[in-house]
Amino acid sequence: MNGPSLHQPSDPLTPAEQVQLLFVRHEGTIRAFIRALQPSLPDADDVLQETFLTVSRKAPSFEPGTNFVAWACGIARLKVLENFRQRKRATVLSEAAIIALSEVAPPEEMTGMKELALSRCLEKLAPKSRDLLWRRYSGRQSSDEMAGALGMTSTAVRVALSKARAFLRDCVSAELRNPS
Amino acid sequence: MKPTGLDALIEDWLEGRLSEPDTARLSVLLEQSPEARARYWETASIHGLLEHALQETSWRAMTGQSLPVTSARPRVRYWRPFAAAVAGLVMLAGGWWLNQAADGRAVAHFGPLHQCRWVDGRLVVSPGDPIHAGQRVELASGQVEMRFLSGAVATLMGPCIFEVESDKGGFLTLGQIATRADTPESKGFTVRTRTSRVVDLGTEFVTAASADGQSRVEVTSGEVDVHVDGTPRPQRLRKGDVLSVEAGSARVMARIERGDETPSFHFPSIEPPSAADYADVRQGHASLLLVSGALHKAPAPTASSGTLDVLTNGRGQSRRDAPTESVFMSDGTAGWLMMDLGSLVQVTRINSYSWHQDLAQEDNRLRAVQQFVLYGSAAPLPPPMPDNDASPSGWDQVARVNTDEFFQVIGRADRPAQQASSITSTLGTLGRYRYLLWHLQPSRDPVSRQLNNTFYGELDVYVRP
Repeated sequence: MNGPSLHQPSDPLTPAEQVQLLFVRHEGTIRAFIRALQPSLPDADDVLQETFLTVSRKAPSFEPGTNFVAWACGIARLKVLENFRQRKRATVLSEAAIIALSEVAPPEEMTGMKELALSRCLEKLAPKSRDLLWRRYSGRQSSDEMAGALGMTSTAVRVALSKARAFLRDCVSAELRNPS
Repeated sequence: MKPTGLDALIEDWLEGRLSEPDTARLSVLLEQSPEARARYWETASIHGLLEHALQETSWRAMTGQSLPVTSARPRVRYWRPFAAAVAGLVMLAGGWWLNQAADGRAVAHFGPLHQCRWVDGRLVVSPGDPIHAGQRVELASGQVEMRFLSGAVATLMGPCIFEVESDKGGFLTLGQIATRADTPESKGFTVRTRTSRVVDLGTEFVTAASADGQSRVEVTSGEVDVHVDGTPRPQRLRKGDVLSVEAGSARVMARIERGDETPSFHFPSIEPPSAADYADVRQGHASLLLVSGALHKAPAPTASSGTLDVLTNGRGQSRRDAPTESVFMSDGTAGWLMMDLGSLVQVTRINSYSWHQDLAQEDNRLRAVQQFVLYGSAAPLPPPMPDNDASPSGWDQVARVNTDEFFQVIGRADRPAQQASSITSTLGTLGRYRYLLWHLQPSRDPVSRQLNNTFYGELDVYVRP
């Protein structure tokens, strides 16, 4: 069925609708998993959508009660690899590396804790660094665009972004070890 | 022990600037070193989570300021958790009614509720209850009205997730919302989705967002401006206009319009059937082939489908019930129609036209609905054809069209007899394709439950030279 998946109150949920609801519910975790393996944001969006479509198609094979996120991330991993193959670029990680990484991906519970820690760490970040991160991730600006808007060089933007992420990484690790 | 230079490699990879040799080096490290993999996740998880963490409400809450103005890049919104109505499948305990109001202001109140089932079964909501900025309303089924202080009234139709951002708008993650914003204070009321921003200009409109990212806007009265991410200018929609926007980097839009029901096929903004398009038979570039399914054939006096060339002859039907001037599949069956464009071309726009109104029954326009999925391929030879209704592998899905959904057809008379759909992209091009493939689907009459196939009169394909 095309378009919005709307159902009447009395209609039972189909398997596809059930997994779609689960997907929407856990989409943040699945998206974070994809983005970690496929850093390009537009490509990650495409992979997410492909994953959603495949999850919907394979809905009958999902066993209720089993780990939906693990099942969906397994499909997402294949979609990342497919995306890499389609791009035919030499600058993508090897299949073996992606598979090895997937096997040690942080569990879903950890993602929730990291989100909380990250929000606390963002508050500790200097406003200028937060602005840069916002422009990069929410506004999706390139380093050159940011440099133009902020009167910085592209190299300075890249260095500042790198430092901000490193701060967040270390801060989140510390928060997880010793939550405030 | 952490390999030397690993952090720099991971950082450059995440920023998309890692050289080919360094990518190979990072791959080897990740394959061989558990420490490298652990470090990768430490850093990459932050990259994966940052977009959500930095979303607009967080920014406002943190800084108390409006978002900085940025370029018009596509911005994908993190979908909030949506609880399944099937509790047996739910694996995480969680707060369904996440009410982290950014500033605690009540900006709206609940109005009448109709058979509401909330995603959080424990929730009790009564008419008059306040709704705060930053609050998310998660409706599993039923309908609920929200009355904003600006005077706007929005009706959520479940299942629906809507985050109220202010007294002048919010973010629709999933489902459908009908909005009436006809007071001076509510002018500019905005419904945002993952792909677009619908700004009221004193009107009534319906916005829908599906879980796979497609969004749709229909104007029932007045005008709205639709700002599609990635485009500099808004699309102005007027009463009766419908626009859908697909998710994904191509930013595909399908515009659906009703025609004047004359042989001139006049539509508000979509051009009439053309002989000047790339696929027209006179141009000599394209050819059509029915790769699966059968055209309708019937003994006289019942009419059969016309031949495929009526779809590229530069004109629609000459009258409202003209089977032999139309192409339609056997009743109740789907069809796969492939167009070979002759060479790889940059496709910019694809229009399809249909017209049907029974001569005896005024409300019988069953064969006017357009319901299809369009695929494309840039391969030199057509990818394998599907042998069932599954999505074909090797083909890119370009767009989905279901005009009955767009026109919210419930009764037979709701369906326009003459329809056009125009598929375009905010990028100016749908992509480079050699082959196009339409999965033509039968429609079901909501009253008789019969399956019927559409009277298509013309397919026009426009390309960039």
